Order: sequence, then structure tokens, then C-alpha cells
Amino acid sequence: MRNLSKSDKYWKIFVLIILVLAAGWIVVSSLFFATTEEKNTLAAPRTGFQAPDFQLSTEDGQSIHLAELQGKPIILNFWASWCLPCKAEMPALEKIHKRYADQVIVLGVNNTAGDHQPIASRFLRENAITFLIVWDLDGSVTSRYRVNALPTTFFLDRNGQIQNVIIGGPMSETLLITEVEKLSQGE
Amino acid sequence: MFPVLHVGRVALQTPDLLILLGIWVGVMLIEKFAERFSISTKQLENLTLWSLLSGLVGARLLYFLKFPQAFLANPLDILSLRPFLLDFEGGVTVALIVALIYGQKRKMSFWSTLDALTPGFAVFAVSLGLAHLASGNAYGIETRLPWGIELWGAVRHPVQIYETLAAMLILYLVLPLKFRQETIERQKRGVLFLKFVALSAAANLLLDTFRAEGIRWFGVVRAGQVTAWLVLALSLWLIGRRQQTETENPANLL
Repeated sequence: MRNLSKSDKYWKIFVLIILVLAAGWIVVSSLFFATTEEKNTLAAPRTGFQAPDFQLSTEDGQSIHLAELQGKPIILNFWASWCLPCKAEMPALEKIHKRYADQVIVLGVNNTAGDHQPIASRFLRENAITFLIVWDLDGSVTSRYRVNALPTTFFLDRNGQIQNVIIGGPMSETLLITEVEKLSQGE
Repeated sequence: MFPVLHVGRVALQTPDLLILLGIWVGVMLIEKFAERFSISTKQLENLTLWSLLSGLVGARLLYFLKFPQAFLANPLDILSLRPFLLDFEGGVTVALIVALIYGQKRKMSFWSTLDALTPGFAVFAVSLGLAHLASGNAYGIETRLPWGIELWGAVRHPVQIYETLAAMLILYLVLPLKFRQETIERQKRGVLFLKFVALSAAANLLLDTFRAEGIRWFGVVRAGQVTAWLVLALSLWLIGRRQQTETENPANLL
């Protein structure tokens, strides 16, 4: 029993030292290591960061500048006509565009560098897609957004900050509605 | 950073694959070592299976409860097999509740069960670190150190690598492979699990220093570190309490 209390005493001292050291580390690290990161000013294709800006053209030559669309949440969808999940989610995106036209902007970025523009255009016409589609002719925007798989969709709040990224698909209408709701709640 | 693995034209999400791999290896290890902790392998298998299944169902149901109006257009989406539309925290909570109920119902020893599950938790922690490395999540603060990595527009501490290495070290320390049967029998029940919790809390307390994300109280103190300190204190206190317990009744082992 004496051994038990002796080891118990050592254990308590050990625990005390560990906890004091740990508390000390919290204080030191709070004072001497970098404080909050200014994510709002950094542009990177990741949740919490500012969406990298770009300027691309639609099929009829209208220039779309991402920064100028700020003020409304944006669903930024990277797609290609050879990608089956991309094509499968287009009707859901179109429904969201029509249902929430006054609340959210749906913007499709076709990775034209890895696609055939005439085939992609025909797909849009045949499926009566009316939301904004821009053409990333040299693939630079797709590359800047580090899109490794299609479709990839970025959900931007009204200030252009990325709130969520969904890699892969097809996204259902239900999922898109919840994402729009989250973006609206964040306003 | 390798968020996506291309197999032909199929793009697989590497972080998800690593998590699944972690669960699979973890379950294998749990089954391998279960009997060393005097726990029935069959019971542990069922516990794990029920927890995972109920966690998935719970995650979908809670997502539905959060956004019921979103399902009005397509109510059948509640049964969708797609990995979206899941509430992660809700799923984990449901899984834990179901595990507790199952364990209680089958009269499984609480602490022995946690000990037997510890190798699985430890492997999962390694896979989580690797998943963070693949996705670029849980990234570090900026650094000028030579081993900094270019990520999200800056050179940063490779916190995901620190996290994986720490989890590997903890796995080595808690893996019963190197323990002799007598050591396991001599050790008080629950101590292995509590050691794992204490080591993980200590690792998080240190690693959080280098993480860029996370809540800061009063703009200074990292909430993650304070939480880790509390978990560390609680687990060390419980270890002390468990060590003090006299030899437990062998009849309670199963």
C-alpha cells in the first residue's frame, strides 16, 4: 500500500509538471507564433480564401470579369463536354439558375483547352442551358484553380470568398439547394 | 498534395480513399488484437459494423433534418448513395451513441472495449494525417524554414507531415504487437486507450502552434490548444485513477 501511495505521489508530480509545461507552451505559442492569417486578402482555390480573379469570354464575345460579379453568391462550375458527371449535373445547375436567379449567379467555366468547343456548344444548345458559360481557351483559369478532376465546383459568397469546394459529381439539385441556402445564411 | 487519383478517366478522391483505407486497416488490427484484451472478436466486429452503418444513416438523416426544404423537389435523394448530403458531426455522434447502446446491451466491459479499439483509432489518426496531406487541409502557418512547402499561395509549415509522423509514433507506442500478453494482463483496463488519448492531445497541443486555421479566443489563444490541454489533463487524471484501482473482477472481463 505504501508503494502504491509513493507511485501515486510521483504520478501526481509528473502530471503537474506536464500540465504546467503544456500551459506554458500555449502561452508561448500564442505570444510568439504568427497570429490570425489574413485569408480574406489571399487568393487561393480553397475554402476560406478569396477566389482567384479571372476574365474570360462567353461564346458571343461578352467578357466576364469575376471580380465584377461580386455582390451576389456565385456557383463556379468547371466542366467539359467529354465528362459524363459534368453533363449529368448541368440540368440541376440550370434549375438552380432559374429558381434562384435573383439570389445567386451560376457561372460555368468550360475547360476548352481539354475540350472541343463546337461539341460543348452543341451540348449547351441541345440541353437548353441558359446560365453563363465562359471558355477557358488556354486552360489557365482551370490551372489557377488547381482543378484536377471534372467537375469541380466552387461556392463563393457575395464577397468572392470561397465557402465550399465540391470535387466530382454529379451534384444533385438537393445538394445545390443546400449550398445556396448556406451561402444565403452566411450573408 | 494529391487530392485526386486518376484511374483512366475515373477520378478518385485520394483523401476519401485514405480515410477508407485507414478504417479498413484499423478494423483488421482491432480484430487481430481483440482477444488479447479478453474481448470477443465477434462482438467487436458487430460493434464496429453497427457504429459505421448507424453513423452513415445518422449523417444522412441529420442532413435531411437540417435542410428539409431542399429535399422537397427530390425526396428520394434521402436514399441517394452519393457521398454528399451527409452531416459529419451528426454521423459521428449517432455512431458513438449506437456503440454505447450496443456495448451496454451486450454487457461489454467499457474500458476493455476501448483498449481493444485503440489500435484502430491510432491507425485512423495516421490515415487522417495522410488525408490532410493529400487534400491540403489543416495547413500550416507561413515559414522561412528550409522544409516549408508551397501551399495555398505561401511557403508553409508542412503540418500535415508533422501530424502524420506524430500519429505514426503514437501508433507504434500503443500497438499491442510489441506487448507481451502478461504486460497487457498486468496493465489496468482502459490505460492503453487513455495513453492514446493523452499522447494525441499532447501532439495536437504542439501541432496546433503551426496550424493556420482554427478559432482564436480574444484573437490570441488557440481554442484547439486549450481543448487539447483539457483533454490531456482529463486523460492523465483518469490514468491515475485507473492505476489506483485494485485488481478487477475477472468475471467482468467479458
